[in-house]
Amino acid sequence: MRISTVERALPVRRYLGRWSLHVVGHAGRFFMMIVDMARGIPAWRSWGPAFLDQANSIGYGSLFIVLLISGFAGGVTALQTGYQFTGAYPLYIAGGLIGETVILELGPVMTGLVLAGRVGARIAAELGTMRVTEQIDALESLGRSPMTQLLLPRCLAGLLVIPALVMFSNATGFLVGWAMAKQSLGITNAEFIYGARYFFRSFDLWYSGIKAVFFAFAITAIPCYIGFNTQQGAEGVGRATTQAVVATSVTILLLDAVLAQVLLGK
Amino acid sequence: MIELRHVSKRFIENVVLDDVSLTVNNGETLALLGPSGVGKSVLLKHIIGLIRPDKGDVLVDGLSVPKLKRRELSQLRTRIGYVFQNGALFDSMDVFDNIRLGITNDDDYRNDEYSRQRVAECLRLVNLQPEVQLKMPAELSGGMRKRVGIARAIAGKPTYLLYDEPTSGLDPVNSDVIDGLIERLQHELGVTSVVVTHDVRGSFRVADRIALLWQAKIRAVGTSEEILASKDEAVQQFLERDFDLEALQGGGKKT
Repeated sequence: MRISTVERALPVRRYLGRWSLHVVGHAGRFFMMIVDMARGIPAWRSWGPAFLDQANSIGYGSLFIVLLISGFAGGVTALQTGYQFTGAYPLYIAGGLIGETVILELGPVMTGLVLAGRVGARIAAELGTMRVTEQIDALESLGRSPMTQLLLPRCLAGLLVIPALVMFSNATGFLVGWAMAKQSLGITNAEFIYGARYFFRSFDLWYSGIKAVFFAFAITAIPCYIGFNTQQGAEGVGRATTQAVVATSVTILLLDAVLAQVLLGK
Repeated sequence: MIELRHVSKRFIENVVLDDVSLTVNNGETLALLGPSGVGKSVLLKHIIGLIRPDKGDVLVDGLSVPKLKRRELSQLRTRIGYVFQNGALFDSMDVFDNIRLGITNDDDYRNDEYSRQRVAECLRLVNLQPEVQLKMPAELSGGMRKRVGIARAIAGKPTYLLYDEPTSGLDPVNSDVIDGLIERLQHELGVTSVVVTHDVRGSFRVADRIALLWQAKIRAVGTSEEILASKDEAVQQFLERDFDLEALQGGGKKT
């Protein structure tokens, strides 16, 4: 007996329907989590101490790896620029190229991806472990809000500290790129600064900062959501941690594309 | 008073509670017995609003727990102490901070002098030395973790105490210590308690009344004598594992 096209399409439609409901459900719960956290902002006495701990952990704790990676990124950009510059263009262009590449793209995105691994994984693992060992239930049973005491300080600390880390990353990438450009291209300080200033617009730093704020939100809020909803013991914590890093990294790349189109598109 | 009215709860296809009704009177200790995985902890979490019923109602002091708004539920929870199965201590905090977090009145919680005194008092009530407050949860034995969990639950001076498997995973000596502690707290604090357990001997020791949760339903409720005298097959089967029934039915209440 022949199966009609409609019958053949039914499982696919059913799958798509379920998947859509799944996505809408997550989106709704994520939105409600943000609303719940926003409600807790006035209770600063509850989240203040944890906020300082988290700011220290996310900021100071990540500083070394962020500076290391941004330094390498700036340096390698300069080396590759040297490889491609064969004398067809004036050397000062290298200053603009390296500066703009670091500020517009490498600084925020590299920092974001590194922090998605370091901070995102930590947040998801911490909250996931607290969920499966009933510590979150215990907090609720004491009449205290996990949103205010656990999630809010992590998100606020990230929103404050990650843009600052991105600016440090920009500065490090730029300085290391400058030093390497002098080595690989033989560019003078005056030429490099002339090029960097020629192509620089103050909006570039704003753009970098705006991207950093969006990335900071993704790096903290997504792992908070996934960690908070962890299920099924140690395996669940492992799964939540992996999901948090993957989801945050993909979101950062999507945000990067969307923000470039919205803020730089003509 | 705690009252469950026709409560039903299912997780996907698994029916955990089916039309369960149960009352816990003020000042009494009710032990909820049942095999592992039958849904005793789920029932307990309904009382404090950590799980909402699919059908039915849960009343504490006449307030419908599932219908309470967030703030009202938080206020109700300050009157209920919950002792978690594995302690659920916050592993990033030392014992002092864990117990202090149980002080549910915000003004008292921020008062350092009151907090110090209250934590010391709670440690004394659960028979722990004051030095324990400096330790981290990872440094404690299983029995000590349970006792710190109890200390945290009573720090806010609750009206109700809910114990989730307080003796599970403990050796008989430590189980006896915890059972004695539950008895003593009941006597000293005069709270209304629900003790979820599958330890039949312990429940006979601490409880005024005993309920048996069996296959998603409350199969029997009564005093220890009434439970022992029950002809219900499930009750007999459950008790036989721990008791020589014939000897007990002749000998009365606690063993």
